[in-house]
Amino acid sequence: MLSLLLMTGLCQAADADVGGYVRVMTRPDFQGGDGKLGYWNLYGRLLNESPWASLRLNIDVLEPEPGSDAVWSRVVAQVEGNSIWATDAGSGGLGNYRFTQFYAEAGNIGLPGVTWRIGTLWQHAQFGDLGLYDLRPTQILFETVGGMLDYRSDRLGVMIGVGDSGYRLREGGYNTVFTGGALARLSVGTKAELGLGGEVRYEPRVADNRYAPHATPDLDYEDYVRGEIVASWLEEHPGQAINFPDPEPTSATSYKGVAYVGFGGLGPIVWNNLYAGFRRVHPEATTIESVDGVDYTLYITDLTDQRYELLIGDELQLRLVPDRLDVVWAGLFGRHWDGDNEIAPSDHARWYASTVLRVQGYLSHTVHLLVETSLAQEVSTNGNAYRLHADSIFTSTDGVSDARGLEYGDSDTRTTWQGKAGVVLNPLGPGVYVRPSLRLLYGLQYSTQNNAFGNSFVETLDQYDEFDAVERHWHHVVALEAEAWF
Amino acid sequence: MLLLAVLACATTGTPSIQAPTPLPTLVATAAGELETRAITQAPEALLSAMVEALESRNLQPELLAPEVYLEAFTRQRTTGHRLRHLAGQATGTPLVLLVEATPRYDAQLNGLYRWVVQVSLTLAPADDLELAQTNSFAVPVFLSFHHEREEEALAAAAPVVQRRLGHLLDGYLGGL
Repeated sequence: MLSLLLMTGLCQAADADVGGYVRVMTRPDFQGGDGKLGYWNLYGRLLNESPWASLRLNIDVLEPEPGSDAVWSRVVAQVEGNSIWATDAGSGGLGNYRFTQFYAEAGNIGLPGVTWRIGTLWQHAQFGDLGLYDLRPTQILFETVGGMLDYRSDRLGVMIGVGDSGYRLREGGYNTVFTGGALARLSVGTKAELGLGGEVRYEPRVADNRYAPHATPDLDYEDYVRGEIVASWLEEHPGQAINFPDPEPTSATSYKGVAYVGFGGLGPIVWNNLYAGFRRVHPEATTIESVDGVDYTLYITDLTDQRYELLIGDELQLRLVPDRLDVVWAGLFGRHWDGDNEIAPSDHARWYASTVLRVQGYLSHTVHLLVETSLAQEVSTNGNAYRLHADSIFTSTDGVSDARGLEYGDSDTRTTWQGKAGVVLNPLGPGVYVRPSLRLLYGLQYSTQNNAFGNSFVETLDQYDEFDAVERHWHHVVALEAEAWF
Repeated sequence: MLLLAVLACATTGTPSIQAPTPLPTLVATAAGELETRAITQAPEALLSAMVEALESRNLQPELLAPEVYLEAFTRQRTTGHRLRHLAGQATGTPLVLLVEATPRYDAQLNGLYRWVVQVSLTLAPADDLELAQTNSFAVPVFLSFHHEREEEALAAAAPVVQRRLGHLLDGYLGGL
């Protein structure tokens, strides 16, 4: 952030443009929560997101000339993070921020209408956003740094990108993950758009590279979930720790396919976006188990390479009474499969569905009323995953207390309803997504799960604990928020 | 609710500086596209905002017909040349206003499509272009959809352009 600010200052002489986004809020919580109404934005992003700030710097190295085919070039950098002074536990610490964008691009070189781009690629590799959820089901190349060809005409847009996703996927345990992706968007008149695309990632087999994909032979999934692979093996092979099986090199692949249909300009329908994405999740690399003070690195590519995710989302914007009443209605469905895991609940074995409805009425040009409601259901497909009561058991099997059970709590389903209402001051006038917005909101949530919001409550049922577990299904917060793009 | 009603109904702001007598003003707008040589008239939303700013100051805007100037503006790339062309069309309008605006797509930023509209407002007496006053600025605007392009970006910039035009007019009228 500091370097970006310095660059901003240094670039005053150059043709520089600074933009960004910020949302900042306080949400006093009399029920002991962390200030968010629910766990995540499946219930609508409003009141369920934390602070966020991003600062974006565009520097024109060669400024484009209107109506000219002269070469142009610019450098783009963006810093963003989720902490602002006094609004969260991070207190605005710069450790919460990172460079999420850095690329150089140039146009009018070689091919007309083509922008060449090298650096981070994700910002230009998606069809759009589900605004009420703040989700992008068609995002590709999110982890990729590389090169991109971006062609745009009145009717057709094509983006082709290639690069390496290794550092983002593996971080300190870097191994090259070759990645290629493409998106194509076709405009059908002025009232419809179609989009199709996808990406493929390939992590090659590299013998003797400890960060390349390997598979430790004969791993049992239940032992893996319990963290007892090494202990079980040593139990069967006493005194033979030195003979623990060596990992075998392998390769890893993952992919994602995306589709998009948009239409609008029909009566009160401003626009409708329908997005779909299906992906095979890239396998994990390793896990570490400690037995008798010795760390064993286990290579788990084979145990994590059958994870698939489907995400479908739709958002409909309606202008019911121009400059008086707008409505946005969105729905989301997600299905996650894990072919390696049939025994334990996890984020990779579940489905969820949700709908969010926002109504915004305009009392005047700048004073608006906002009402939003959402209903969501999340279901674990590998058994219980939620505690419904203060005295619900933790580990279980078929809902019965079992200290060695792999299930959690007493239900496989969490159902959540939220309602939000308040006053919005919009200096730039009407519009659900017109910003800046200054908001005073009240939010109410009911969840079948006990204490279904971020908290630091004591959950133990130990009779000697000085704090008791409390039954609480309703949660409410009051929020003062500001949100702005600039 | 009472506070809300007061907020919604309250009007704020100081009155604009008024021209001493109704002052006809010839207006031409040049909306440029970066990727083509096309120059078009500004969209209706931007025109309306400018007309409102002019009329609220006792000026009488007359929009120059696009067919009179667009071809010349496509050929002429500088503000000075365009202003001279505009002044040449001003018969009986003592004031001319030239609005040049070029939107440029930036990127999708936190869910919205960011555009930057580069605007130049030039106001001058039709018979003395040496006294021209220019206000140049950039307006970042955020659109919800990919299919919204230059026209929507210009329309979204209207409130800021109206405000900056008001400043330019107030400065000029204050000196009359």
